[in-house]
Amino acid sequence: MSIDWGPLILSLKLAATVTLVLIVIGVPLAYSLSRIQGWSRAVIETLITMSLVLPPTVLGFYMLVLLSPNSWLGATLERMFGIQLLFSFAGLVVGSVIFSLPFMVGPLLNGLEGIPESLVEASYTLGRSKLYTLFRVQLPTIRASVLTALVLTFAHTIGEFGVVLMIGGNIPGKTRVASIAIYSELDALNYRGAEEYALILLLFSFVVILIVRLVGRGRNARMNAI
Amino acid sequence: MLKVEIEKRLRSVARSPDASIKLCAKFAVESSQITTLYGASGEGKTTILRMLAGLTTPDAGRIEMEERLWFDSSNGINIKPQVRGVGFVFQQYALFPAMTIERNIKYGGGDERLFIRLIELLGLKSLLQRRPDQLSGGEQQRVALARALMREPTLLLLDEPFAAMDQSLKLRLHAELIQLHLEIPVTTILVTHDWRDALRLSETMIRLEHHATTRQGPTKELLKNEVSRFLEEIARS
Repeated sequence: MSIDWGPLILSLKLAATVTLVLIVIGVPLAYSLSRIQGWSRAVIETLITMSLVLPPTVLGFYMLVLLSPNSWLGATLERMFGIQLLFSFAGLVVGSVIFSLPFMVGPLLNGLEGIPESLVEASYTLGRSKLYTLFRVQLPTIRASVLTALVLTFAHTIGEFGVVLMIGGNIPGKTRVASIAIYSELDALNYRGAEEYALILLLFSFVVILIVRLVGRGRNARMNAI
Repeated sequence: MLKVEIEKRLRSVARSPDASIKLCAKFAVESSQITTLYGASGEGKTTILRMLAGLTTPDAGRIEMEERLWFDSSNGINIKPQVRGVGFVFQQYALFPAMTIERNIKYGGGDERLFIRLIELLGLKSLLQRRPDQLSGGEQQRVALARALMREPTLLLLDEPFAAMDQSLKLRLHAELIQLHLEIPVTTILVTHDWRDALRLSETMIRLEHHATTRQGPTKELLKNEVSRFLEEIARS
């Protein structure tokens, strides 16, 4: 098997970076959403969830327009910080963060809302702050949801194609991730190469979903027993 | 002494989604005593406890504990639950499921000597490394009590702690609570809809009827009707 591991390594690097960025963004976002009701929440949730139903090319298109050097944002980023997001790894991270946001926020929000409010209130009456309660009571209680969010975000980023292709193109060593490599190999009529990448991604997806199912099931049972 | 004069408008889903009822509570509780807040289900007993703890904000009124103002709507004072120094035992105990019993009890901090005393008094020594879901209802209640007392609260609030228990377990826990209160005489308000709980555990009682505190006095006196009705039923059977 003379496989080029570059695209796979790049996929892993992208998925790890996106997961890290999203846990930092996702926890405060899910926590804030769990504390509000009404139309503002509905609007925010709709915006987050949109990437689940939008064709990735639509998001990719708008990001392409927004980040191009001719746009205000693209030009400002380049002029002030020297950052060129299109066709770069950083651009892939930005696109993937937006595209994978519901996979991080969804499980975290479900988990946080599944906790009885009395646990949070008990912590407050025991003198602990909201931040302390979040990190010492709420997140440990929903650790299966946290793990699900991490694994789904990581896996979804590995499997991304449309957004990545639109923003990053197909630059070897820079933006050619595994899913793009399959397309690229097929385009070159190298079916063997495409098959190798496809098989690895197939096995990866199976293992990831299996982990989520097994972990989620075990932990939920314990939660129900309380 | 705890002095309370508060009111809160509550939405009554049972009557109609738009209807609201006004909950009024006016009472004073002597320090170091167990006082029962007695009334039927849905009268607003738990809401009163929540307002005392700072978990629900009254619409108007005043709460004063040992001459410290916790809430005063006229001055905009509303002390956070974190700093009121209240011990709250929730109806479902609210033990933290991801922690061992020891970590649950020590969660709010507190003195190590008090920890040892509490686990001895409540017989929790052998349970410390277990998780809440491995404990029976009675054991969970004892842990919740120990956790609330670890902070040496000025006020202990017990929300229907015996609601889902059979009679024999109830009797045992009543005895334990009386014993514990003799050792650590913290001002306690016990919420119950069962007059037997009130009779066994408290000298004084506040009666809640039609969403308002109507009478306060010696428990035996205020429960005369319930007791005589109970005795009549026994005589008839």
